Amino acid sequence: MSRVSRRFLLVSALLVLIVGGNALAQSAGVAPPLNAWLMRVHQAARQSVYTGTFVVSAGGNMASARIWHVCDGSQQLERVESLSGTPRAIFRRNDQVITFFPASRVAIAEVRESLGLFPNLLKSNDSSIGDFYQLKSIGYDRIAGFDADVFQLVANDQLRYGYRVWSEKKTGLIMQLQTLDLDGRVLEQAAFSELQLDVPVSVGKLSRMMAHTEGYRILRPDLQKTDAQTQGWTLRSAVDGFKPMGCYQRPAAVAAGPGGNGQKTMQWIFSDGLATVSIFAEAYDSRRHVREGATDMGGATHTLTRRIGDWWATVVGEVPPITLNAFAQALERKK
Amino acid sequence: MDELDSKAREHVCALVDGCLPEGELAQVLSALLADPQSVQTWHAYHVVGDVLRSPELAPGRSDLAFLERLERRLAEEPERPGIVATHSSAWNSKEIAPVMVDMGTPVANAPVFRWKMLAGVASTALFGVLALNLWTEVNPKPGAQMSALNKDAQPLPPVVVADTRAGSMIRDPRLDELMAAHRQLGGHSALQVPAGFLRNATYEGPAR
Repeated sequence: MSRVSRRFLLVSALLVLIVGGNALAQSAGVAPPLNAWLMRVHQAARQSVYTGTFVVSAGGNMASARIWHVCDGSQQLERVESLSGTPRAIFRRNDQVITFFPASRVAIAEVRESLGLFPNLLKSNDSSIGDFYQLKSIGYDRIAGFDADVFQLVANDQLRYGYRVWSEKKTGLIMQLQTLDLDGRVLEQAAFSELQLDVPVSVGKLSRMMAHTEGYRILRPDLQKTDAQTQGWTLRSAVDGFKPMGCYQRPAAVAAGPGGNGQKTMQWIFSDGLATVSIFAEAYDSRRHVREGATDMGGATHTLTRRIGDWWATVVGEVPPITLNAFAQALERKK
Repeated sequence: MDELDSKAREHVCALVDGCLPEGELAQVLSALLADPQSVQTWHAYHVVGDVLRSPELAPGRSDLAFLERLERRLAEEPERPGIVATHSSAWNSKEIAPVMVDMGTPVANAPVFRWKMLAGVASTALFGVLALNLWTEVNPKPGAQMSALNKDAQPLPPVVVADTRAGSMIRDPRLDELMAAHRQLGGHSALQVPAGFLRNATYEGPAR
C-alpha cells in the first residue's frame, strides 16, 4: 500500500471516528432545560388530537383503557373507556371530570383544579422542579410505532422517585412513563400500546356523550375548600421541595358510625412538581385506627398512618415511605 | 335525603355500618322501614360508601328496582302456611342468588315484617357483592411481607404490603377511600396531562 493510500485510510478512519463520535453523542443527546421540556410535553398533550390504548402496570397489576383526546381552541375534551376492571367511562372537559358507571347507573361529577395548574406554574419560573430533579437525555426508542426521545428525570435526593419518559419525537407527546425507585427499578409503568395521531375525533360527539347523564344518578363529592391553619394543623418543618397545593374538608368517614364525633376529614395536598402527597387528618377512633405504620399499596403509591393525640393521620403519596414519614412526623396539632 | 333530620340520617348511617347498639336496633329498624325516604337514604349510603371505597364495590345492578319487583311479587303471592326463605350461596357465579319466598299467615305487623325481610335480603346481597369482590378479585402479588426500611437515619415503622396472593389479609376499606381521594385531588404533577390523568383514569388502584 502506498504512503498516499495509507494517509488516505488514516484520514478516513479519523473522519469515521469523528462522525461516529458525534452520532453517539447525538444518541445520548443534550437534555433541554427542564422547564422548557416540561412545557413542550404539556403543550403536546394539550394540542395533539389522538386515539389510543393506554396500559398501566403497577405492583403486579395491569389495567388498560381506550382513549380519545381532542383539542378545540382552549377547550380540551377527553374520553377514557376502561377495558379492564369495572366498566366505566370517564369524560374530561378541561378540569371538569365525570365518571359514568353503567352497571350501577351512577355518575360522579367533579372538578379537578390540579389539571389547569401547571402551564402557569411552569411559565412563571416559580417552579422549583429543577432544584430536585435533573433531566437527562438517554437516547431514542420506538414505542407503538412512533420514534421517541427517551429522557430520565433523576431525583437529587432520596425523598422522591425518578421517572423515565418516552416522548414522541415530532410532537413531544408522552408515550410511556416509568416511575423508578431509589435503586432505579421500575415501580410503575404507563404507556400507549397503540396510538393514532391526528385522527378525526369529534368535539361535538364527545360533548354530547359527556352531557348525556339521563338515567344516571349524579353524585358530587362533598368537598369544601379550607386551609390547614383554620383546621388547626401545621407542619413543624417543611419536607424538602414539597409545597402546599390546597386543603379540603371531606365528610366524616362513612365507616365512622355513631361513635365518630362527626368531625370531617381534612385533606392537605403537597407537591414537588412531579410527585404528590396527601395528608388526611381525622378524629382518632380506637375501633378503626389500629395499626400505625407504612403500607405498600403496590406500584409507586405508599401510605403511612400515625396517631397524634386525639387524631389519626394518614399520609398517601407516590413517594418513598421515608418521605411520608417525614410528613407524618412534622404534622402538628395547634388547637 | 335532605328531608330526613340529621338524627335519622345518623341512625341510618350507623345501621349501614353495623355500628348501631343492640338496644336501639329494633326501634331504628322499625322507623327506617316505616319511611320510604329512609330506605332511599339507606340505599344511597351504601352506594356512596361503595363508590368511595371502590367503583368495583358498587352494586352491579339496580338493587332498588330489584327490591321493588320483589315486593310486588311478594304482594301477589298466595298465602301459604309457614315461611321459608332460602338463599343460595353460589357466589362463585358472581350472581346474587335467586330468592324463593313463601309468605306465611298474615299477622298484624305483616307489612313491617315484609320490609324487614327485604332489608335482610338486600343486606345479604350487598354483603355478598362486597365479600365476593374482597375475596375473589385480589390480584396476584408476592405474599405479604414485612420489610424494614433503613435508608435514612429517621426511624421508620415497618412497611406492610397491602394485598396478598391468597387474600389472607383483607384490605382496609378506609385506606382505599383515602387512596381514591388522593387520586381524585392529588394529581399535582407537571406530568399530569396526559400521563398522570390517564394513569389515574385507567388504573383504579391495586388489588381488589
